[in-house]
Amino acid sequence: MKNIKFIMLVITILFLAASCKKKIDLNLNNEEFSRLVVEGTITDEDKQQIIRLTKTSDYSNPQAPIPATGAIVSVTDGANTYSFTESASGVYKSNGNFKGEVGKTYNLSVYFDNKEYTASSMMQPAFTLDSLYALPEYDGYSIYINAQESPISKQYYLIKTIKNGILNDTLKNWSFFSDDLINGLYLQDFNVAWLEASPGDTIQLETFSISKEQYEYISTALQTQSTPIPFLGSNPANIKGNISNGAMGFFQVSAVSMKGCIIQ
Amino acid sequence: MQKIIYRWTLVLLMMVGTTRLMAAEITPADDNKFTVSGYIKDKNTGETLIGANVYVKELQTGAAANLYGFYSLSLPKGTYTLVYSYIGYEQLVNEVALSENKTINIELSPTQNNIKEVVIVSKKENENIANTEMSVIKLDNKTISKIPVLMGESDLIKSIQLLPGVQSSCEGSSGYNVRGGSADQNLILLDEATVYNASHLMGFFSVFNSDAIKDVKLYKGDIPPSFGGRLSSLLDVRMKDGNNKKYTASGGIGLIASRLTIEGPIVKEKSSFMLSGRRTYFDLFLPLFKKKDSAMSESRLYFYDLNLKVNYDLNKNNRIFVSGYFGRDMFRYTDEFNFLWGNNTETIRWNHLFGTKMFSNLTMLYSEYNYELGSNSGTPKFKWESDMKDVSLKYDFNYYLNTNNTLKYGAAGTIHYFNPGVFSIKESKDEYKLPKTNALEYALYMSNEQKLGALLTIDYGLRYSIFQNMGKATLNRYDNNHNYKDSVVYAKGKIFNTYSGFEPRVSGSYLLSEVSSIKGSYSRTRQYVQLASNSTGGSPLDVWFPSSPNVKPQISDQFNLGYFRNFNKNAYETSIEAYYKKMKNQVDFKDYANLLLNDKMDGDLRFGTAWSYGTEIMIRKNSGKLTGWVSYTLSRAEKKINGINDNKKYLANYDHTHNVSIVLTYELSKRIDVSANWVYITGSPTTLPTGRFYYGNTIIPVYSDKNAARMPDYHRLDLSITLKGKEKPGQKFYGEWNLSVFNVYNRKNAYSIFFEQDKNNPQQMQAYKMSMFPIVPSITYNFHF
Repeated sequence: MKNIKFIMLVITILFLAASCKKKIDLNLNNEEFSRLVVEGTITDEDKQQIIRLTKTSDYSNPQAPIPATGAIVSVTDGANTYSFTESASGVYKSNGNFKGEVGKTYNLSVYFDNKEYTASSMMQPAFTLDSLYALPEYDGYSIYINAQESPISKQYYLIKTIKNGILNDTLKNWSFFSDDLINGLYLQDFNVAWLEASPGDTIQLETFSISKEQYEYISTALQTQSTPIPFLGSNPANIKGNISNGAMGFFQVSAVSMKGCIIQ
Repeated sequence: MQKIIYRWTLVLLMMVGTTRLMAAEITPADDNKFTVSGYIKDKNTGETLIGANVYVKELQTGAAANLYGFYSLSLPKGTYTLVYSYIGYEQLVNEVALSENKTINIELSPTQNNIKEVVIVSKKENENIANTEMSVIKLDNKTISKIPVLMGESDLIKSIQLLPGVQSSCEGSSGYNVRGGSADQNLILLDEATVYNASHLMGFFSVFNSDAIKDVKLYKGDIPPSFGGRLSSLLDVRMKDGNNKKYTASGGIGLIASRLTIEGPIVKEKSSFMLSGRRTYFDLFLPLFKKKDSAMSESRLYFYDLNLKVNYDLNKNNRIFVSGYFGRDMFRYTDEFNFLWGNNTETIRWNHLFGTKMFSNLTMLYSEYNYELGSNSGTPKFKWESDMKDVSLKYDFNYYLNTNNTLKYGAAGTIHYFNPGVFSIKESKDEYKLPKTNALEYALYMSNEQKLGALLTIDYGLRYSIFQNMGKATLNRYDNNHNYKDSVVYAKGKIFNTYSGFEPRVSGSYLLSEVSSIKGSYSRTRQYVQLASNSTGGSPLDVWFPSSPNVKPQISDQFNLGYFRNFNKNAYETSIEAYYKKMKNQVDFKDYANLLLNDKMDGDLRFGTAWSYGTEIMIRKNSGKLTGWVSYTLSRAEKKINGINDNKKYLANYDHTHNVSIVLTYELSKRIDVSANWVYITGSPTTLPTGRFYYGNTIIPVYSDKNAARMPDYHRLDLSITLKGKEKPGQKFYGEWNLSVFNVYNRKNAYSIFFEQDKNNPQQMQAYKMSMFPIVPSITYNFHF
C-alpha cells in the first residue's frame, strides 16, 4: 500500500508543479464547542502509565492544548483495575507501576464534566527489530531495518524516531504500516523512516504494535494534514477515534520495543 | 450466455420483421401521399449534416435530418417549394412536382462570409422555437475551435463547461456536472460508444480531438428514449465521416501538442476515410531538467489520440461506417515508475433504408477503459492493472409515418466486464485481486414525435431498461452497519440479480407566435453503473462499479419548463429554462473511504437522495459578425446521505449558486477574428475546520458541518485572436495563427484552501490557498489544404 502513497505523491507533485501557494487571511466561523480529547498509551513496560486529557479549542486561536482537569480515570483488564491520579494539569498517572500484557483487552473509563467516556483496545504482539542502519539519502538519512514480521496476519505497527534522545512526535514523521502485503516475511533492508541528521547522531526507533482501528485513525489523521487536491478527492471530515460519547482522540494499547544505531 | 444471445437475436429479428411489414404494407396503402426523402450533405466535403432542415413552404411544415443526415417527408400529390437550410450554410430552394416517391439528395454550400446576410429567411430558421427539444445545446467544430482555451488546444469539454446548466467539476478538470448531477451521471458517447474517462493529463485536456469531430449535442434533461444508462446528461459526439470528394489535410502545431487530420475519398462520392492524430510533446522539454536531475530526461509525460473512420455507400439503401478511437496517456519516471491509461472505442454501423419512410441503423460497439501502473526497478517491483469493457449491440429505427408523426424505436443490449484491479508484487509473487464481475444491460424503447395542429408538438416515449449481474462474480454481503458479513461466489454465466424499470420521457412545445414558444418536459432516467470516486474532478484511477444487491440503481425524475424567443429575424435566440431534479439511491462514500484497491468497497458506500433546481438563461447569436452566447445559471444542488454529515442535508461539492459565461467571437475583418470568454462562478462549497486538538504535537482539525463554507468566487477572462492568411484565387494551402491568453488578468483563483502549522509558532495555523493556472499565453498554427 506504500506504493499507492508514492503514486499519490507523484501525482500531487505534478499538480503542485502547475500550481502556486499563497498565504491568505481567512475568517473562520469559530463556533467550536469544547469536546474532550483523550491521548494515552498503555504499554507492556513496567511503569507508571500515562493518560492525557485535553479539550478541543478554536482552530484559529494559537494556544497550547487546554487541559481537562478534575476527571476520574481508570483502566481495567477485566481482572485488575488501575486508578489514575492527576499528577499535573490534565496529565493522569497510574497509582503505581503496571505493565500491559499481549492478548489482553484494556478498558478505559473517564468520568469528566458529568459524562462518562469509555474506550477499549487489545494489546498486539510487539514488532522487534534485529538491527537497523542509516544511509544518506536526499540530504538526510533513510533508516533501514531487518526484522521478522509475525506470521499472524492483520498486524499493524507504528514506528517513531528518536534522535539523540529527543522523540519526534510529529504525525508526518511517524511511520506506520500493515502487514497486508508482507505478512510473515523477513523484512530485509526495509526502509521505514527518513530524517535529517548528521554523522555521530544516535538514532533510535521505537516500535508500537497497534490495532487496526488505530492504524486507520493515524492514516485519517495524516490525511487531515495533506494539502487537499480536489482532483484527488478531499472531503474533510472528523477523524474517528475509539472513545465513546463524541470525545476525540485515541486510547492506545501497545507492546513496544526500542533499538538504536549511530550514524556513521 | 447462449440463452441471452438467443433471446436478443429473437428480439432483433422480430423488430426487423415488423419493420419490413410496416415498410411494405403502409407505404403503398397510402395512395394519395408520396414521400420525398434523401440525405443532406455538405457540398465541399460530402459530410452529412446532422439536424439540417427541410421546410415545405406551401404546407408550412418540415422535418429535420436525423443523426445520419437522412430526412423523409410524406406529402400529398402536388408541387412544392422545399427549402433546405442549416446553420452556417447557404439555403437551397428546390421546386418539386410530387407524383411519385422521390429521393432527393441535397448538398448545401457553407456560407462564404457572414457579411452578406442571406436574403430569403425561411421560417425554418426558428427551428429552436418550433421543435420539442429543450435543454439541448448543439455545438459544432467551428464554434469550439474559436473559443480561447488553455495552451491553445481547442477542447470540446472545456467548451461544454461554458454552457448554462453545466459546471466544471474543478478548475482544469474534464469532469462536468449537469444540473446538479454528479460527474459520473453524464453519458459521453463518441460515435455511440461510451467513453468512460474523458480526461487526458489529469483532466487538463479532454480526449476529444476537435479536428476529428463533426458535431456535438449536449442533452441536459430531455434525453431521447433511445439513450439511457445515465441520470443527468448525454453528450453525443459524432466524428467526421471523411471528405468523399477530394483529399484534404488539416492540422495544427501548438505549444504543447500537434495535430494532423487526413481525409479523402476511397471511392469518389461513395466511400471515404478520416484519420486524425494528436500528440503532446510536453516531455520533450524534460531534458532541460537534465542538470538538476538526470532521471527527468529519461522520463516521459505525454498523451496521444487517434481517430479513424471509414464509410462506404454500398448502394442507395445501404451505408456502412466503421470508426475507432484510441487514446493513451503515458507517465513514466525512468524505470522506477510508469503509469498509463486510456480509452479505446470501436463502432460499426450499418444504415439501411426500408423503402423511403423507414430508416434503420444497426450498431455494434466496443468500448474499453484501462490503466496500468508499475515499477520495473523500484522496491518492490509491482504492477497494478484495472480495466472495464463494454460490448454492445443496438438496433434503431426511424419511421416517418407522415408529416405529423415520426416514430423512433429500437433495442439495445450491452455486456459489461469489470476488472476493478489486480495488484501484484514481483518479489513476493503476491497478488492482491479485486473480484471481477460482469453485468448485462438492455433496453427496449419507442417514441413518437407528433404534431397536433400547427402549434402544438409533443414527443412521447418510453424506455424499459433491464440490468442483470452475472457471474463469474464474488458478492460480498454486509450487515446493516456496513460491516462485512460473508461472500457468495456465483458461477460463470449465472444471473444472480435483476433490476428493471420503465423510463417515461415526454416533452412538448407550444408555439405562441412565429418567434416564441413554451416547452415543457419530464423524464425519468435510471443508472446502473457508477464511478468510485470521492474526488471532484475524477482521476484516472477511478473505477466504475455496477449496481448489485448492495447497490440499488439510481433513479432520477426531472421536470423542465422553458420559454423560447427569437429576436431580430431569428438572429438572436434566447431562452429561459427552469428545472427540478430529484434523484434516488444516490451513492456517496463514508468519511475517509478507501476507494483504491479496496475489495470491501461496498461497505464504504452510503446511500441517500439528492435534488437540484435552477434557472438557466441563455442568449445566443449564431450569425453575423458577432457570434457567441451569454448565459446565466442560478442553481442549487443538495444531498442527504445516511451516514454522512450526521444524516443532515448538505450542499453538493458542485453547488455553485451563480454561474455566468460570456463567450463571444467578433469578425474584425475577413482575416481577423477575435474571441473572448469570461466566466464568473460562485466558489465551491468546502468544509473548513472550527476546532482543533493535538495528536502528538500535530494539530488535528475538528469540523462542524460538511460543505458549510465556500471558497472565494471564481472568475477568469480568456482572449484569443485568429489571423488568417491572405486568400488568393487558386490557392490550395490555408494557414492561420491563433494567439490566445488564458486568465488574462492573472486572477489567482483558489483551487483549494488548506492550513499549515506555522514554522515559528507551531500553535498558529496559517491558511493558504493553492491556485492552478496563472496567465498562460499560447500560440498555435493551424492549416488545411
